[in-house]
Amino acid sequence: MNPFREAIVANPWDAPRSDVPTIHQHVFEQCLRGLEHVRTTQRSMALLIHGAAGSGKTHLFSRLRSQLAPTMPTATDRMESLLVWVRLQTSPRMIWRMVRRTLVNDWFRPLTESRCQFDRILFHRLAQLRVAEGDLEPWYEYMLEEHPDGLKTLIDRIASDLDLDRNTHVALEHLAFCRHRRDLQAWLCGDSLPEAALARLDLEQPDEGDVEREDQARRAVLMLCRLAGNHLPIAIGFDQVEALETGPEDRAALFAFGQLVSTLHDSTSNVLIISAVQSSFADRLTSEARAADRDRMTSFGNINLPPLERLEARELIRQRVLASDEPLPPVAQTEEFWPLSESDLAQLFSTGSVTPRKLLTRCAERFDALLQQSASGVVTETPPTKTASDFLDETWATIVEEKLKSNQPQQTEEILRHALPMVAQLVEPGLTLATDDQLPDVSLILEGRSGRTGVSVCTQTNMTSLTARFRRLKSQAGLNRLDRLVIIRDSRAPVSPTAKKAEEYLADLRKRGVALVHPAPEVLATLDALRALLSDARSGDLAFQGDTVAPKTLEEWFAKHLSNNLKEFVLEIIEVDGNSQESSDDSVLIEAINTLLAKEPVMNLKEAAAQLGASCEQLEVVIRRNAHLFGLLGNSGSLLFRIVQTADRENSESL
Amino acid sequence: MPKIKVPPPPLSAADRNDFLRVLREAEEPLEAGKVAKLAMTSRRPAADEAAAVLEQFVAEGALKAWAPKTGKGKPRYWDRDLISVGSAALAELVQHSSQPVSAKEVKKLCKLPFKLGDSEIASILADLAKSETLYEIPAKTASSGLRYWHRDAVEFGRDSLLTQIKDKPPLTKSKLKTAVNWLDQSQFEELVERLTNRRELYCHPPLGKSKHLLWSRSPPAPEPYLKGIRDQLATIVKELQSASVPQADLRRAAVQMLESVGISFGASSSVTTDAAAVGREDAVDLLKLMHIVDPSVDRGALVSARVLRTAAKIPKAEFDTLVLQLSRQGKIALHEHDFVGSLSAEKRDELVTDGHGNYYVGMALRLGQGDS
Repeated sequence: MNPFREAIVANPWDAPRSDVPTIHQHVFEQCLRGLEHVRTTQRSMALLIHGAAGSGKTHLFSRLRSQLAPTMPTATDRMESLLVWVRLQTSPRMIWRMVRRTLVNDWFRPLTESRCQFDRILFHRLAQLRVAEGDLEPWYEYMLEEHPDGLKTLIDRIASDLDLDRNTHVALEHLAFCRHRRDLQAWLCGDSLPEAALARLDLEQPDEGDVEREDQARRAVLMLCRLAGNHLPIAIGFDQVEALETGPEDRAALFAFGQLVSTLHDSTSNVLIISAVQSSFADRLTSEARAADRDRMTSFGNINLPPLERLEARELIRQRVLASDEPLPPVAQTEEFWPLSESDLAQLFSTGSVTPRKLLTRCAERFDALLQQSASGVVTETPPTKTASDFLDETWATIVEEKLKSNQPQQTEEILRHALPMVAQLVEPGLTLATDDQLPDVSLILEGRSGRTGVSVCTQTNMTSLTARFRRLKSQAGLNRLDRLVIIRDSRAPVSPTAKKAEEYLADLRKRGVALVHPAPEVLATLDALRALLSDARSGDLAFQGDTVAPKTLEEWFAKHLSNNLKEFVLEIIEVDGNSQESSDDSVLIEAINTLLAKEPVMNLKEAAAQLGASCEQLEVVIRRNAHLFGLLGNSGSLLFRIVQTADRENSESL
Repeated sequence: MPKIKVPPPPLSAADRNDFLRVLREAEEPLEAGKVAKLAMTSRRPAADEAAAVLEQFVAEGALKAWAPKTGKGKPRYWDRDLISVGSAALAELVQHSSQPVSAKEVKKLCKLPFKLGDSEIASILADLAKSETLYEIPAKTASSGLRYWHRDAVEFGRDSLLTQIKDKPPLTKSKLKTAVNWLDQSQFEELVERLTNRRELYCHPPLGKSKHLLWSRSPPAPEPYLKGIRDQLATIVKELQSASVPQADLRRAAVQMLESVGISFGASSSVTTDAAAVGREDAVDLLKLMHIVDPSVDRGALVSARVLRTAAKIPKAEFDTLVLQLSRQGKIALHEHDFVGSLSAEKRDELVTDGHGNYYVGMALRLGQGDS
């Protein structure tokens, strides 16, 4: 394996291939100083880090992770910190929800011996009440097994001291007693949960509109920071901030990010906010962000990640050589810049320095060339056989497959709100995004050739929330502020047979001409893949042969490779025509079949048709068109059943 | 009837071999009792019985005996010996260290499942140095011990020297030596020669009254050397002008004179102008200007090319040349803009370009390790 490949650190939670501590040491130390400052002064601070694409921003987070992630048993005499790494691949209107979800998932991530950061918080909070020395974990285990009442009393005291609301108090209790962790994680993430799960948890989920849900996410994040306490400072790293932008003139993204940092800065007392951005974006932040937000973003400094000088470059190459799994030729040990030639060095250091990514890419190319050394001993640099388009083809196939495997109904709203505008603008250039305060439950408003189309993503699994959402949409549709309203549902989250009111509201909305669309999981995975790749491109994290692939290049490539499925889905939303009416009728039937099968997973086709008031032929057509959702069994295809994806099945089994 | 205690059957060859297997798979030396516990033998042997078998293996050379872990502990056994395991571990540690480490530091950093004494560490390090797996680096001070690294003393001297003289004006050789005073004179001379040959260090002719050669990380700027001649030339030109020598004759004579000493005027005019601007006495001091534009540059802030260009009030080509020059000298770090294609021509003009398709959005001062 080429020891110089993997020039991009995609996720700081994964261990990097190698690390040279002296590279960007002063920036790393500034981060650590920042955390100590927060711990000592009990005031939140922020640090802005900027560098060129490939300068090592995510690698720096990875180093922070290995330094900060607690791996030793919790003890009262050990200074600890918490870590959250947020890749801002979202819409500016969902920024707090993204932070909330990431924070909760990072804090539930097992670090060592199945302990997670939430456990650390718990131990630290308990330690404040119980004056103890040494390791806390054996004591906690003892309390859990031998004195659960005593442990509950301590949790009650923590909740009372922190003035936690009821829901948070109950959540903390579940954490302490290791109960319903899976549902608890989903609840803390803000996912819609079925009534049965909420009843098990003894928690509530308010039925609110979009703005309120964002506000609720903000309050949840602040409350969780408060729960951690001043003795456990939290480093929150924001990466790929550029991905929030929909275009070069997008001011909403800058504003949303500025507000996020300012709120975290002013409303918490234990957070070090580390924002890592590209240098070009830092320049825009300086000139275009609100002065108050900018001051907060840099309250602990504004520091650059410089490209590497020769000595640093040499050390990086050496570490890669040392970490190589394959035996390398002896010259790799003796020549300090092996496998680079003098001309490579002259070119790479033409301005005196080079980014780690460019350096490693050149090394990787040279390494490959050396492997193909001709029998005569002459090293010939083989011309690159891959084009940027080939690279995108390959990357795309891999990422779509990954997204298809991991796609979950609770991601649907975020995927659509982030990616749908991008694709809609490719399908219909000139289409613009709008907002309307009087339509809080309309997630997106697209203004194009067909007028003003509102899109409401209704994927709640909690029927009370779904009913409330339909009721509000019904009154908002009556305001006549849209030319068209489209409701997007996820067929994997059917309306429960008992949710009569939800069905009623949906039927009313249909009567008013509201369209109903069910995207296939393949479409959602494609959209998810697109937003991930485009976010990488906007943040300089998508590189081919050492050069960053520009977002425009990716968009052009994608426009040429737009799948029919996806195009049809987008057209179904933004265009009004006869076919769209037909597919919307399909959607109504899909919804009805789904509801029916939620009650009885396998059904006779004739019986189903009778119950739904449709003909068997009509039903068969819809089933054939939606083979990803339903299937027919039996010689004459007389048994109808719902397709359950592996991921869904695993989830329901583990529940 | 009294019960007769039947002695256990002797351990089979397979049992004995399993002792060897346990120790080959072990990650550290084990006591005989532990070996007896872990081995999959036909019966559970007593610790003493296991110890006897293991001692026999030691005598045959199949195992090595290790000293007990503590004073009260029992002898341990392993298939590896202390020196070879210790040697590999210490070599690995020093190989990965970013700077030389003393035997004391090695002892502190080394995490081994067994203890290595000071004398053992010293002897292993000396052997590694003898085999040139590691190199000895002279002690930093008289009281601290020898250090070890994966590169030789001269190479380490190179790193130290280049880092320490980075932002300093040209230095004499004796001053240069103080940066690496732990090197002996011959090593120091070898280092200077190596760096000069590699053009990582430049020798400057003596300047002013001093007769000493000077050394720096960048080639000498010609202006200070030409200052005396310029002053003399200014006086003579004035005298010739008052003697009615035509301007054209003066220019011709001056050009001929300069070309006769090896200064060519064949370069393109723009390059000549820009290069000249860099060293001009009245050239803009961009480093100073960066501090004025943003006082936090000392702490690592980036200064936008657009903002600095506006403040410098000089033509674009001249500004870009100055910036690139400072970058090559290691005084500033340039930050590349990756999506230049998405910018308008006007916005692109605000950036610094090297003329090879690379554009830079801003620059930051190069901060040394200790500057933060």
